[in-house]
Amino acid sequence: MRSIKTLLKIGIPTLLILVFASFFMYFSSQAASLTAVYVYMNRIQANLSTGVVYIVAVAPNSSFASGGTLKIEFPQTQDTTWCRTAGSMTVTGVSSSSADQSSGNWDIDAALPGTLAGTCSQGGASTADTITITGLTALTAGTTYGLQIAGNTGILGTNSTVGQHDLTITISQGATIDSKTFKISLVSNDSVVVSATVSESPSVNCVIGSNTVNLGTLYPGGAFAVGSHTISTTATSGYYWAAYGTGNGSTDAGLYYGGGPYLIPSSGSTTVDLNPANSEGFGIVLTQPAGGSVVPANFLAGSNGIFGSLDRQFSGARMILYKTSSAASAENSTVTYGARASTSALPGAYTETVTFICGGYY
Amino acid sequence: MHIKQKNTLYKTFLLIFTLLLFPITVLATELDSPNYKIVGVTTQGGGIIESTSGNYSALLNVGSISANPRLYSTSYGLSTSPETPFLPAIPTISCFETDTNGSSACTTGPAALTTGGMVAICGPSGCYNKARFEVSDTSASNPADTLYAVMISTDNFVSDIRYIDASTFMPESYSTHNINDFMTKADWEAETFNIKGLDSNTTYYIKAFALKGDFTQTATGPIKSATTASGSVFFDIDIAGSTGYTAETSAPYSIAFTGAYELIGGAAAITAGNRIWMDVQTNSDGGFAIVMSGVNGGLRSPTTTQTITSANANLDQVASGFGLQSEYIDYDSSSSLFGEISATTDYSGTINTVGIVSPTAQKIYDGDGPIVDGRMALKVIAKPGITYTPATDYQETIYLIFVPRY
Repeated sequence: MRSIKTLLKIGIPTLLILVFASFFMYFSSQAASLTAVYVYMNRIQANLSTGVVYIVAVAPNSSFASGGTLKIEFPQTQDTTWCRTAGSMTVTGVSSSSADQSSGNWDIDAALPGTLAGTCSQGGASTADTITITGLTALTAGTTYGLQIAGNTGILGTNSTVGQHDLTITISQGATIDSKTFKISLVSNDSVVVSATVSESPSVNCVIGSNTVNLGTLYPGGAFAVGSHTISTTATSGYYWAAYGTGNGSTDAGLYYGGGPYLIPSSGSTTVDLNPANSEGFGIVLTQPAGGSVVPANFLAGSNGIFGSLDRQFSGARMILYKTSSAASAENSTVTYGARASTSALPGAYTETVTFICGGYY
Repeated sequence: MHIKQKNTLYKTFLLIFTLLLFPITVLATELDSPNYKIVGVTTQGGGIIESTSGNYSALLNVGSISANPRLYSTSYGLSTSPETPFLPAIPTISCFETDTNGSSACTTGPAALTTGGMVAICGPSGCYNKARFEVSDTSASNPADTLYAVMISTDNFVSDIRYIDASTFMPESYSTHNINDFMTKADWEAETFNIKGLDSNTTYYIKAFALKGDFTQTATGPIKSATTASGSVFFDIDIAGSTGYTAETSAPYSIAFTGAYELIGGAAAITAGNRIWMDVQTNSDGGFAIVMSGVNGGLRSPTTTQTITSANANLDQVASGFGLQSEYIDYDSSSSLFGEISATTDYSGTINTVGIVSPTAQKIYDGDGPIVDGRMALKVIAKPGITYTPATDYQETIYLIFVPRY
């Protein structure tokens, strides 16, 4: 009887041990490749020493019971470059991310469940920098889970080498293990700096000193007469003045007497020389302000009795003054009108309306 | 012999018997091996193969099966034993490929594969998680309805012995392998990637066996091996003008609204002369995302402390603003299995419609599969309005993050 008891004491436990052993022999490690995974880092620049945050999307191929662990392992030869300071991580489940595919396996379905805790550990002789997340509760095969990992007492960085780097993500619980090894890319610089100069809106201020000029009495065959006024300009980035006349309304600009009718014309396309005896004509000249302004040669004051000729209508406007740079303070020019009547001119009241156009260069 | 000695002897004997019980049980389960299906095993405590006592089943020896009515299939009738002529020919694998480049031994896959190898359908460096095999149709003349199953291993079938599931095409254990994992050659090869769920940078060995009617499963054929590729990613930023399709520039990367592109108060929206160009290449199944974020949420001047705020907007319809617009997308579309690149909606505008640059990350480009020779360009557009104080230090820093999806 005693021997049977002894036998039971020895035999049954031994049998149970063997039965359990055979169970584990049969249900050996179930390893599979993760169905989908991506790692979205907030920075992909090489050699960052701090501030790297990961969002990880991972879809297990197997279902996992509660109590699983998720690991991110970095290349074994790059110890201490990814986990710059070993310590705890701040881990939170996320239900979506900007890197999600609009549909399919890479679209986060749910936040990684559990009371998540993370650490980053630095590699050694036979180990690699590793982020370990524990506290996972049950996971369903084919569901894509999201989590965010940020530094806490541990600090995450990036390796100094530009290019591809292997990462291995593993989810394990007991004998069930899903993992995938893949590559991420680091660049020398992941940023583009956009700079801008904002300037004031350009402006021009144009002033005509007088709107009427009286040339007095022109005697047929007599000398030429002159009259003047000023124009003044300020501009942020350059300006121009142009002018055209009215004349008889059909053939040319100039002083016109409608009662005659008679036109003292502003003939030609260049200048009008009022010096010759019995000459007749009408034109204008301008003084050139200092500071870079330009009066075209035909209109530049300085040659006695020679005036620039005008044409009629807007289409005949001629440039009389311009500047391609700013005129911070008022720049003045004197416009002088000159006219001479020939002996054939009819007596009467002659007028000409000269229209000035001013604008800015922007 | 003393009683105590006898008890000790009995205990030892019983212990040894108990220990032996387990291996016997294990051996019994192995009667259903991967190669043979043996029905109605009744060893009744063990025996020897050639016993004539009538108490033991001779089914322990496949080569001498008695006439069992269950051995009759619709195609074959075995009156005594499954003679070799009744079995289909042992299949050989004519191609098992993961990373072939420029040519392929596979003949029934897509044209891109047969002419360009696996790289032509998986992208740079080949397939990292899948493969294709084909059953030889030249070394044997099995009927078209012959079924095949495939075994796979990472250690040449030393201890890692798995099968390919014919519905998921992923490796499975022996415990889930069944008759549904047999398919015809045509059905196997109709799937472009008929082995999936593999690990990257790993050598796999496969071999096949055939079945044509009940109890006609053959031995496995020759082993073929292939090594999966590693994941492959490439991302690069360049700054160049609107025609900089092939331009390559080095960091630091900057774009300036200065000179001819100066932002003039009250003026219409201005597009910077240079573009942000990006190169992308990856063999990742899920393609990629390019995610962008800005530091200031617009062009900010430290001296004036004003920010030309960025928003999703048509700058022609707002007083001021700043943002990005996709101008150019190109990629290799030579294979229908390659992915396509598209800009997300907010960044796909025209004229002066822009997407926001925000401290909150925004996705600007999506690739939906392996990408070869991807190239994209972004316009940078700004409108200063009339309320911003002139300054030369308005600035925004934009981060561009490349995320491959495996």
